[in-house]
Amino acid sequence: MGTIPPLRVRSGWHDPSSRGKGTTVTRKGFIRNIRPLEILTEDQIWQVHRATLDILRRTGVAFRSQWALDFLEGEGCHVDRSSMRVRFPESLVEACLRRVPSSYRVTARDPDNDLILGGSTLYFTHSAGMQTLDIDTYEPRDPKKAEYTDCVRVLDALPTIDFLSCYPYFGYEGLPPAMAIPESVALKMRHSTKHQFTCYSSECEIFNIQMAQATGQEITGTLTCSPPLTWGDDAVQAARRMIEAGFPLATVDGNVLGGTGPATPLGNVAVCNAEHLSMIVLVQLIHPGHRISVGHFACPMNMRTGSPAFGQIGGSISNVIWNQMWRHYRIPCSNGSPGYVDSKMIDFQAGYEKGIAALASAASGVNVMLLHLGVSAEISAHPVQAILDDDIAGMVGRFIEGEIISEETLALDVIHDVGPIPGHYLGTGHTREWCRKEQFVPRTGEQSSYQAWIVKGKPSALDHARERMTEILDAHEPEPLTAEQEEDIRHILDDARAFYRKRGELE
Amino acid sequence: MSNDTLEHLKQAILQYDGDAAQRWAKKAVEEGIDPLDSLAVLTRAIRQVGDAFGRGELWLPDLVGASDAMLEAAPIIQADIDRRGVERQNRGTVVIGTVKGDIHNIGKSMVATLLTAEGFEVHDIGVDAPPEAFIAAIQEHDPQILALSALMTTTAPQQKRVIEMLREEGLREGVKVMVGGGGITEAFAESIGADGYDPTAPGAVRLARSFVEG
Repeated sequence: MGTIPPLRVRSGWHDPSSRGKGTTVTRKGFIRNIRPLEILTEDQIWQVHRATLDILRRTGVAFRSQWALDFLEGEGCHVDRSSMRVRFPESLVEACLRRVPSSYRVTARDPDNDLILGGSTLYFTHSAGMQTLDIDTYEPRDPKKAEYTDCVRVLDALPTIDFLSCYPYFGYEGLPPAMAIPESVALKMRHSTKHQFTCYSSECEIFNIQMAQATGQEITGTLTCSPPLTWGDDAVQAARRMIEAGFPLATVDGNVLGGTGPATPLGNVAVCNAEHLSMIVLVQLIHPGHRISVGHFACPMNMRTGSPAFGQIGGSISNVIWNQMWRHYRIPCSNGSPGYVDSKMIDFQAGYEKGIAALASAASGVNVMLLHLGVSAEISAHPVQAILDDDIAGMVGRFIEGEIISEETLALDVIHDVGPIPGHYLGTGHTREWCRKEQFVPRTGEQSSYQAWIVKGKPSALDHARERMTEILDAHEPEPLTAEQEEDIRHILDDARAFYRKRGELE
Repeated sequence: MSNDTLEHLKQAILQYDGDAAQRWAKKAVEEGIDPLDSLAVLTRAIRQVGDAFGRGELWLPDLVGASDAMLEAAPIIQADIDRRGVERQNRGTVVIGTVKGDIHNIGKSMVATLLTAEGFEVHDIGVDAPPEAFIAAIQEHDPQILALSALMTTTAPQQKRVIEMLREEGLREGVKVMVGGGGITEAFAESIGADGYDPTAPGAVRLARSFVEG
């Protein structure tokens, strides 16, 4: 693999992971204050866990990386070289599970945007689309660079987006595929002060890491499994580089029920668990205690087309079981499927698909949820959809915050004071104090009186979202990078272009 | 009775029974049935399943079950064709593979199986295939059609890279490029300069037929 090339940056690297010591500033997210929705009994949790260990011990997981095979064999795993399959002793898996921190801080460019992943906290982020789309005709197309930038600015502005995820689009007009990820990471660093999760391709994690170091922030490196039960060499390589840089990791599955995973959510969770645990073992053996979270991205297969059926409820059943398992393991977990829908438009179908999936995931205790932005499966995404999703996130987040149980909220004194009609609660101090705390008022949902709605020209939530996008773009300008950081980013991107030219991946 | 044997062979495909398909294919060879007749039965059976799939009566697991069963029988029949030196009508030549970074096999193999059943000569270069491997296969087999698969949206841009390399190597004009995979759309196929796209395996076969039949 080789190590990460030394930084040639002027702004210099300071370790943001030390920022957590002595400070409590972070994004709040939503704190779940309700009992989690559960499907499994305690015995059934152990049944799934035993099944997972059985898969790891008997069937094993393929690592298409000679380095990983050598390393894991040296650590006591059974390695079949011909099939590149690794079989894991149960004791090793259990030991590595215990090494994973149950909650941890990750840093952002702005300390107010640091995150503490784990526990009862729910953070939201966005999904991604290959392209943007025209929201009048719903035809997908490549975004222009300015549209890509505007999308990132909207994501930075939305209060329920706690960090940025991979992309949001797979590229923009004129951007060569080889540079899609490094340019995307750079663009997000320039136009957002939030933490970001990054993906990898053709070793671009080298440049992602360097850009994070140059701008004094951490990035989380996602590691994507190739289901079923297979890790590619590129994932192993990216993991090693991120560990070397001291940056957190997030494994992601992606099993489609009935295609790359069993048709049954329970069996699918067992397979996915094995995929994640196999990488957790590798990571914890390389660096005990390394920060890592796990991401479930499951949905049924549309058996007529072979495409993932993102909007089907089966994905939520898998998410709820999954979340219960990883709360049991005490490892921060995320759900990806609420961010993707089968609907091809910003419409009723998109709303119910996202709303139901988001509520099921949040109520079952997930720590991170992809929700905003995705319009048509993984095909397209749009910031107007993200603005509508901001309201879904607000409502779902408010729901899991539950109710503070106290004498104050029980309101017995004010109930006695008000009594029957003509008494009312509108003029009480209790109402003035609590109505704002208790209510989440959607920003784009149509809330006017009927008459006012007629006078305003019968606007829809979509109309309000379009207006809000204009308002955000007129007003929101995140803190820019310093001149030195900007220059460093430019140098690193130049290095990336030279790297890909040399490899023949760029003209 | 050869008719009985061929009927059993057909039923084995329709019941997704690979063991039975293999057994009845061997029996057909033993009985000296013209292997082109046996192959025609396999093609009719798989087309019947494909048509029912197209009407929405059958689902993908049915299509995969039938094509897997056919994969058990087809090599036995093909070996008999080779042994007898029978000339098989070839509809055209296809190079197929899953692009670099993507190791998913199901969709690509299903299309390869159905194309074979349809009478195409198919060269499957496997999964995680770099653009150079597609170029080498085209130079070796001189196909009319190149079929590129990518299940993951993250690897879909690799289809574009292969098409770019075809242009760079001066091979683009001589081959029709069809693309497929879970995350691919008609618009995406157009945007990367592919000649055709279909979301289903039977549709991919229709597309291939249209390429060679003009």
